[in-house]
Amino acid sequence: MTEFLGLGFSELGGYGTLALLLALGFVLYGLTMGVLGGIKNDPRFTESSRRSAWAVFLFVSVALFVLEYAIFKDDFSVRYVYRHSMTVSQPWVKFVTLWAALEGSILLWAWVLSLYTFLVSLSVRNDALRPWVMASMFFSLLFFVGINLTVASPFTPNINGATEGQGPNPLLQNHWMMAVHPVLLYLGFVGLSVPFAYAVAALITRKLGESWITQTRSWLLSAWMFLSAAIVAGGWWSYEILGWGGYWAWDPVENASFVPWLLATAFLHSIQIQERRRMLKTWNVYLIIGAYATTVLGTFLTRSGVVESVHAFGNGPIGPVFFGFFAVLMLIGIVLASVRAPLIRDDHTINRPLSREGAFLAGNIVFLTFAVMVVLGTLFPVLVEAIRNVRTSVGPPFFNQFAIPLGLLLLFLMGIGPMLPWQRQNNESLLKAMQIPVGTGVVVALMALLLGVRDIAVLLTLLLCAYNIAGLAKLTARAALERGGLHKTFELFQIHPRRYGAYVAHIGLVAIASGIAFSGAYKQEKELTLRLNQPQQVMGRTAVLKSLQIKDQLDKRSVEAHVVLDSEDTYARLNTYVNQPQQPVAMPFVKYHPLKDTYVTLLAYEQKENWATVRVIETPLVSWIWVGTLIMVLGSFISLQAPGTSVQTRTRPQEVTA
Amino acid sequence: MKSLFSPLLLCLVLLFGLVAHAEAPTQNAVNVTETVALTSQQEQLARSIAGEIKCPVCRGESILTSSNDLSRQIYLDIQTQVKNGADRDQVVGYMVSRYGETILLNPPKKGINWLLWLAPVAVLLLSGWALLGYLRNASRTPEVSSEDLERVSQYLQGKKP
Repeated sequence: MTEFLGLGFSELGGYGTLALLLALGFVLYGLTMGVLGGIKNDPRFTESSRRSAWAVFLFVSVALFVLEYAIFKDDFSVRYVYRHSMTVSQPWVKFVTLWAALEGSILLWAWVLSLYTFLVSLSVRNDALRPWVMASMFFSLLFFVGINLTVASPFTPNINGATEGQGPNPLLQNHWMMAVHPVLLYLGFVGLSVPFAYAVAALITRKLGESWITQTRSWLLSAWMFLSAAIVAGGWWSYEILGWGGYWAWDPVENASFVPWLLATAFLHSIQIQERRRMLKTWNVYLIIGAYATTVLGTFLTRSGVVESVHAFGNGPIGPVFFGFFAVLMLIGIVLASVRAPLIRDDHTINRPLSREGAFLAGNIVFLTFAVMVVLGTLFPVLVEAIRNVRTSVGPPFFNQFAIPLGLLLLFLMGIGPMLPWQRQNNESLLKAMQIPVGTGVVVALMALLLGVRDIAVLLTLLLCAYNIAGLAKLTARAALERGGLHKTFELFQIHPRRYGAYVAHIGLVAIASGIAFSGAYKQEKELTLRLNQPQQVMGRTAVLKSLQIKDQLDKRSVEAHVVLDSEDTYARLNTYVNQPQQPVAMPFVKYHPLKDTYVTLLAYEQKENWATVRVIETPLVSWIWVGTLIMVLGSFISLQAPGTSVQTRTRPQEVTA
Repeated sequence: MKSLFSPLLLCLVLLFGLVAHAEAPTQNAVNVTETVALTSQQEQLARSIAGEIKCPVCRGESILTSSNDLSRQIYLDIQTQVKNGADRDQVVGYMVSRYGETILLNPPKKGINWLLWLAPVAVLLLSGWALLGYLRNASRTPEVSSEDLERVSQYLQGKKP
């Protein structure tokens, strides 16, 4: 019996599998109890389901701990440890090895999901939705715990008796962001499962009113916050590691995280229409199902090797299994929603198209188009290969051609939305309201033109950014003055955290947009071969190679070139890890400045002859993307301070949005 | 760099280069470090062309952003051609004839690729049209003639099962 569990080959692996089996047992129990509780309308079953979530969380945590322990103990009788870890790695590298490869990252996914299920079980309101919410969470858990026990088992024993492992991918062992980005990403991805569970519960119980939306608001906003942070953290990781001075390459796995973000952002806005105006019930359900399902689709795309990507952890049965789950999710969503759709009637109607509802809906359409474009661009090579048996490449130039106009359109709508009150707006006062923002935008764009900016996309971005900021400033100032002066601004944040949190998030987005526009259009780079202590001119600066040092460490050999640019010291490195000597990794050196980053990559060197070839890149406003994201996260955080559980009062007809 | 050895050969050279280097204790990220001196205008053209040429051994990366010897060899090739006075179409045409259409990161607008180029536009237009229809249906005008009301209620009834 114990041999069957793998205990005969690997003790730790056996314990891990055992923990997962127990977790699976409680998942099945919880799912059954949840469904029974829903059907029989008996709170005792629901209570049972709720409590089994605690057991699932406990046992998945044990499994996670066992794997981490095996990695730290260098227990190479566990295949995952053998394949992805090595004794000489630094402790933090061992820590992140838990999610540096497929099986471990799915275990982390399952763990985050069990954590969310646990938190949901504590917070879910005692109403008709409760049993079905629990059941839906268990349904997702069934999939993830299930594949961790079968096709993606991190505890499969390794029987070759190795005393050293193969070690992690060099790209994944040289930056601490590896500890942050994947965890944030899973917190975001998996966080979407909660609104999804509520949506399914609402569909099943036919309670598609505002209740499920108000209950999931904080869940959604937190997931969105994590997802936004994770996507940008991934961009920052590429910027710090990949050495080409960029942060976004439309790589399939980046796209896979971006599509759910687009749909979740659309959802975040359109649920406000449902909250306030009781409209768009079906649409919102489709959006959240789409957002959650695309997190799974993304995993399929990137893990199956169908669309090859730098993140593809290799082929195997994982891809089809994920695709199956994606299909099931979409099927459940579409079938449920179309069965229920005839029963759903929107209570309210729009008084005028030119209202905040109208702007949000237009934004929704742009988000949707954006998502379709990204999915299509990512999948197109597969499609063409299936039909014509030749491969096509769809790369950054294609995506940029669509992303730039769509992004500008979003910036434009983002500026209009807050200026329009809910419900009604006559054309005259909109024109009046837009005078200051549009005027500011035009002035800023003209100034930029005079200063020599000739790129049309950059000019438009500047115009729209200035127009957004002027609009928000005007709204805030007016509201503060109505309260008795500009010093009351802080009070506004306390009274209307949702609204002002959203303003702050919008300002973060404006900073991100300017960063993207400028860094995209005005990146400069030059490669040069420097001889020791012989100055050379590069992009108007003097570069001197001061020293070349080779440091041998247990896990890697690190070559460091000390290059002085004018008076700025830079230390670009080239790391060669012992487990992958044929794949040296250039560690660029980034000097962050508010207006222009200096970025030096060591490409080649010869210590005996004292020369080094470096690439020097100067990119304007890149840091604005990172800072903008922090502002955006701060904005979501302020928004979260609003009492989330209270049901919104129905909009009064004369409500004026300041 | 007017060398015209086939891409396969280039790959082989690269591969053997890598294998040979695997034994060496230290290794460079790239081994192709020569550059062609160009005017800033030529440099701009070469870079913009290179941004649309796929690195043959990478996944959807341009030769401009990927750091490997093959990409750099191709980039040198582009630089040389630009220096010799070739324009964009000539260089791109040469790349396509040599490596096939897969080398282009920007799928050419022809054949089945139209689907890729038109679908986003179609989605935007169709959903925009649907939104207008929805808004028109959902918005109430202050004065509605009884005739209109009749039509609307008939329409609504027609929609219900």
